[in-house]
Amino acid sequence: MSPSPQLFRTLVLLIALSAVGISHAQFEKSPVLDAQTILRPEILSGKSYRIADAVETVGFLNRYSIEFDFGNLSALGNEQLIQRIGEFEAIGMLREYKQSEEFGKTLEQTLEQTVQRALNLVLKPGKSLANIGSGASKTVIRARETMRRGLEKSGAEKSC
Amino acid sequence: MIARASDAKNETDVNFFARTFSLLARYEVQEKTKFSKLILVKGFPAGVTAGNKPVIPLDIDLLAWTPQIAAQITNFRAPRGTVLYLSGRATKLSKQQIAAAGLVLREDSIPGFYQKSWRP
Repeated sequence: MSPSPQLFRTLVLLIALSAVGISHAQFEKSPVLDAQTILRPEILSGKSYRIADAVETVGFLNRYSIEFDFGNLSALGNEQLIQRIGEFEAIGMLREYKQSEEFGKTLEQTLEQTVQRALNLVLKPGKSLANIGSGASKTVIRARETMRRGLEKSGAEKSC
Repeated sequence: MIARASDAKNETDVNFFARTFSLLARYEVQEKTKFSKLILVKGFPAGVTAGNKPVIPLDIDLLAWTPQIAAQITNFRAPRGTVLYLSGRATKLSKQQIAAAGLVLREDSIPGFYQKSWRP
């Protein structure tokens, strides 16, 4: 038994109305998310930063507020947040290195050498300039040797 | 498409194209496939798989079914089976609406960012 035309029309109308209901009436608002709920702990905070709990969604992207040791910042989108975290880590590592003993020693040595060179230029100008000259002449000799070897090699290849 | 990317007028457009191509490359790696060609679907770059299925990468952190998103998806008028390849995650309602439109949704193309258990 086939359904009557009246019943068929009613069914079509009901389906059409429910479809309109789904696609137009039910919309969501862009939510405010909780960073502690959505982010993995290793992303949520690091040595020098912490992400604030409230995460707004702006258009298609999440906007994160970051409490960084050197001030508050924001990141628009997950991708930018990952970049920022990388930068924070790098800054953190540099800061640690700067505070380390090794950095102090290297800095001391570099300063010592620079001062020594400057003093040499003033106290023994002839010898210092000769050293610079010998350094430069060694470079020229090395370049000439390389060129000669290159020419010899190409000559040998041609003769083969 | 490359010409269009190189004609980008501002940083936002450049970033958009860079992110889009990066997502397409990620899809190829994750799915162990190669796109046969790249096309534009309503201005959105898309890769076409060997099975002739378009894959539209969308750099969206959270896909909520807002009027704005609904308009975009409706505007796509993409063929059934088109894959929307999302960088983030989608709400339950978005998933239902996208499925109703005959599109396939792939979430979380950047793994290791959101908590596994979190569902919007």
